[in-house]
Amino acid sequence: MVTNVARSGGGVSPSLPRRARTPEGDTSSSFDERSELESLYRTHFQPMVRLAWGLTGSRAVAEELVQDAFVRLHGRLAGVEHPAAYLRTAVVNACRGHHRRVRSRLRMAAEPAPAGAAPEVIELWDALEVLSARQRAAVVLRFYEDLPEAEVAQILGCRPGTVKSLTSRALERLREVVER
Amino acid sequence: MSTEDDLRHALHAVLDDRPVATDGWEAIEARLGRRRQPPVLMVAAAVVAAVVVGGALVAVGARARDTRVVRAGGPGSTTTTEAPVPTGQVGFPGIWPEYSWTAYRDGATRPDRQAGAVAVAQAYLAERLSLPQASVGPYEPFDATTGQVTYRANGRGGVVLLARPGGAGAPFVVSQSSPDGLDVKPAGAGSTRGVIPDAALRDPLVLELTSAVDGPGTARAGAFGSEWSAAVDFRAVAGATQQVTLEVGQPLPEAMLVRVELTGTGPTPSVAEFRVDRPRGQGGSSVPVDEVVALSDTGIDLISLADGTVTGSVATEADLGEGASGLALSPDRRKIVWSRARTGCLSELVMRPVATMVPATVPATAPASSPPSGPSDPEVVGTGRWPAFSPDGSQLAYAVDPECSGRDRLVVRDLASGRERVLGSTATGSGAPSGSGPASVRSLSWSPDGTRLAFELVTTTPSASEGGTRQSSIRVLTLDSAAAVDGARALAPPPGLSWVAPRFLASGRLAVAESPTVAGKPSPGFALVVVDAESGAVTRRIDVGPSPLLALGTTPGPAGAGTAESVLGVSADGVIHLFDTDQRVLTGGRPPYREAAG
Repeated sequence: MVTNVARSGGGVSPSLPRRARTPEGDTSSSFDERSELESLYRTHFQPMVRLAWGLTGSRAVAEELVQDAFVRLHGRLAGVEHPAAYLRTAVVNACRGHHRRVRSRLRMAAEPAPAGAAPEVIELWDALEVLSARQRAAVVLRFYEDLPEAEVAQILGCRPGTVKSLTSRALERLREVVER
Repeated sequence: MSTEDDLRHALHAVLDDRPVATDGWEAIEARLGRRRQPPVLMVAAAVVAAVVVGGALVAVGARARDTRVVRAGGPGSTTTTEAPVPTGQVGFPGIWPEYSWTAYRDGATRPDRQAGAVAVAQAYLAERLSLPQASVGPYEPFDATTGQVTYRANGRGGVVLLARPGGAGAPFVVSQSSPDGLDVKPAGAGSTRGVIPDAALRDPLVLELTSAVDGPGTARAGAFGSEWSAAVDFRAVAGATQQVTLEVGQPLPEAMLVRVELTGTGPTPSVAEFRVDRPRGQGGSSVPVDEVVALSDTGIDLISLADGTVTGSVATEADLGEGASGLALSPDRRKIVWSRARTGCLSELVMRPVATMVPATVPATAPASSPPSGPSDPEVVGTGRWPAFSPDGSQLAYAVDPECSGRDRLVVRDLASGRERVLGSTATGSGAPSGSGPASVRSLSWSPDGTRLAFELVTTTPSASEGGTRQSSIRVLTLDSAAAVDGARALAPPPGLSWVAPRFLASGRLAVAESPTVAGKPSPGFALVVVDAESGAVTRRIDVGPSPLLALGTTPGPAGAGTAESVLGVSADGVIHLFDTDQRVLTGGRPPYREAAG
């Protein structure tokens, strides 16, 4: 039985927010960004780390990336309509950037699946390592975050049809690895 | 099942309910305060090389680009850093306190514990195992919560496992398999590394060893804090499993360090070492049928049902942790599980074999230089509270509130596969009034046929004047039904009385602890009540005197008492009551106790 728990980004509108800027010259906005950011941290840091963990395979890397994403968010929150969705996109981008940076370097082994995990869980978790960053992002957003294809497409900056093909190729690849 | 469903399950199995550090806001604030450019993040790859310099061990970070690394100093060495390092230092309490290290990725304000862990593993290989040429390479990311990290050492297939099975703050243990394929374990034990259940210190101690190479070797054992007291030479035969017998002598010490070396394999002999603990209680690796386990503020005791005396201890105060509760004994009486507070609203489930062997917590120096050791560390098996073993011992039910929302999920985990099933949440039931306050689950108990779970549902109704009213009700949930947790059948006590701490009996009835809800009024007083699990009708009532029962347990009862089942009740004054054919108070032990199971 699939237990779909700990959904990330609860309460986030499915529509990807536009990044808005504060009006020109409005430097004395009463918008308390630090508090906003802290509140976002309290509610979303953990779900975002889990998402980034799924995307990178490493909890430690995930924590760093999400922390970085929060730091980068500062100065950009004012006027953002859906901060949580904005944050999620930032995290996904950070993870893809991470993939690019480490690809040619010594790859860190994936974090092992939890002790006591079923063999098929371990097998699939390890198999995720063979996917490209985009494929991995597509399947994690679709099947862990349970986002519709259209929203995944917005986050990845591609068309929904591309998400569909990324997903099916990723699943095919995983099947190959698992059956091998 | 499709790959899609399998993948969905695997992702949730790995990522959900696993603890994630939440202490990072300060670090973010610090970075915001500096208003610096975001750092270029680099994975601190396994690029740490260890060299021994003048007897002191220094781990030097070979720099990957953008990586700011590492130093680690042994006794007398100076700490070196290669770049300005923010204040603060990470340490691993309990592990080789003579080593310290701090590692930061470029621009990061938090120490890089992975690089630090690599440095220490390197130090261990080089100094303690005399493998200065060993390199530590591809390693798993360090899990700061569980403390698990695995290293493959020196390219010859050896593995060093650095683990902190007791969770954050608990001591580390180290095990390793040797590059010459030397594996050693007590005969009959199932594994050669990690926490090995069901293996205990005995006299004689029979070891099973295999080696990938031929050659002479020595096996030794000694009590911690004393000299080696047993030694035997042997000749390893490549590929063969052979037994080596050590006469360790009586009386058995609390624990012994066992070290096995292949001495003829060159300048870097293969070494395997581990610790063996004396079995606790009379039953060795299980709780005898005529004893029960009882939890107090100072540990978990084994108590004889015959006379109430304490026959042993299965957990110390340090093992218990803060807020220990929910003690349960597995049906085969070989494991105990309880929960303890972790951070915020979260609790962790910890499990421990009744007798345990763990890899040595000290390096392979002679026992004389080793510190006295305590019992092995309990293993953190998950996040949750009120664990309950299924009657066949294959599943563990527990409550968990991963979002600290005040709403509990009821989860059943298959212990063999690790697969978890969420039965429901107290937030979703039809019985949950809208806008109601927290609703938590307590005192889980399985029915003897494994089809139902009884528990206490504690709801807090928001109240403007008093900040909330707590109400308990006994619920019985049929597994595999669609009923949400709040929708589980409620068993209502008679007016003016409350029932708590449900416990299924072998008969399928429920034992509950009964108290009057209004103090001062004439009432039947405190009692143990047996009720029908379907109707809630009271079938038996036993007065328990002036102190209410707070926790109940069951036990097969003293050996020779047939199949009769006894109920254990722990009253508010910390005394354990035994209800069987006649009610008795176990007067011995070290009260006040809070819970008992048998």
